[in-house]
Amino acid sequence: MYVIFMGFVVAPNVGLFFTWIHRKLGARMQWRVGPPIYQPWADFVKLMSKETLVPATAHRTVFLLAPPIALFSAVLAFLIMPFVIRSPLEFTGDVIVVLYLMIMPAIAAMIGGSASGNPYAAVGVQREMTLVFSYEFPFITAVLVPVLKAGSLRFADIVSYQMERGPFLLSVSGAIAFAVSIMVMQAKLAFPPFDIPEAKTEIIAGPYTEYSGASLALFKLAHATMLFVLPCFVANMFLGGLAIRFNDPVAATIDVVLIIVKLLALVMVMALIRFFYPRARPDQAFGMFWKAATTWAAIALTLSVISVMVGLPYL
Amino acid sequence: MEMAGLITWARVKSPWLFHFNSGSCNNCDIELVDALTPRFDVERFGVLLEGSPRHADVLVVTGIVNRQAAPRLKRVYEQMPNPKVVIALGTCATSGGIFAESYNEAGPVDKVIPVDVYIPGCPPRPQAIIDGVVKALAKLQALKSGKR
Repeated sequence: MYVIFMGFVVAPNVGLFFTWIHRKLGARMQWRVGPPIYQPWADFVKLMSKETLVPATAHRTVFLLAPPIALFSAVLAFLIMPFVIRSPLEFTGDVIVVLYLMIMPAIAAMIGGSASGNPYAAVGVQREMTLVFSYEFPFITAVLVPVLKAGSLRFADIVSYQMERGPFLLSVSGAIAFAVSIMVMQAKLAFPPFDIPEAKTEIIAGPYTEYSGASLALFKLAHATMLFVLPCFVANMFLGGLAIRFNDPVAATIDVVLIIVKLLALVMVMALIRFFYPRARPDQAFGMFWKAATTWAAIALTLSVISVMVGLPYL
Repeated sequence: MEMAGLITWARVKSPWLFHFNSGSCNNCDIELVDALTPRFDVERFGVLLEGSPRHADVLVVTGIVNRQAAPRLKRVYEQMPNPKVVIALGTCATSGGIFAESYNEAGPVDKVIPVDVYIPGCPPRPQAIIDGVVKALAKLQALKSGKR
């Protein structure tokens, strides 16, 4: 019951709410009013009610299976992570599984895009693939920092470690790894400056070009869910988790406020980057990840190894 | 709210445009883009400009539809998922304008694909374009799902 409620009601709806925050913030930054709060839900219902066309060049089964794969992986990634309470699906090594599940929406977009047989989608798939290859390595290196410091590949251990000794963001290596993760989040959601795979002015909509109706709606919903999953992941890893201490009413109230502040702060930072920066050229973006982000992630990892061996928690 | 009412509400609240230039002088195109600027802020009403006809609900056609563009316009129209509405934007698209009956004209738009709303003007003001989109929404509201 908990699984169904959290996965299929809370995660997509909060994600749609976060997309509204993004659109509204972007509108306010351009001195306009922006869409009303129900806009993402209206878009979703409209797309669901529309005709779903399958192009003659497409591989029908793969083309139609890709959007649900993207949505279910995003929902499953959320279900494995602790949110408010410990997840009933947790196990040792769940961090690795969640890392894999969070790549799945991008892979589903690639599979669906290449199954659609559209040349614009083919270009978008190539770009998406190169982007995934360039951001995954620094991301995994950055995630290794809290894993090493807490000495566990389990979300529950990482969160409880931070609840005892303060969030990893307050250490040098944690702060660097957090900055790298913010950059990767931007690329994972294909927001500027890394909206290369679905650059509207260049390749129409990239892998999503041929999608219409319900399958497009599911892709949009998967994207919205990822907008909730990724801040949850980063908050669990670096910001001390999203748990509530139920035994003490005062602490519980503080925790609820902290959860909202952490998630909204992450979403707003992403919106600020998204609306301040233009699109990077593909070679610039890949250079940013392979040179800058990988170097900083490696520095953070080295510092965290030193901090664990020498016993300096702030390093 | 029952299901059909909810769907109609969602359709009216989220019209996504696809813009097709069928041989226009670019004047109407500039005015259409003008209507989408922050000054008019049509995102308040859920209007978005989409890059792919597969994502769109409203097809905005500018220009006289010359012989080269006519089969392409037909294809783009057929690529759009139902339900959809078509807006003919500008004097050329509604009647051919000063190019009417010229040697290369296959249009106006309603000779090639069915048109729901006409917006005359050379070019129409952004206010007129927004008014036309609102009229197209009324048409969209009347459409049953499955029908055009």
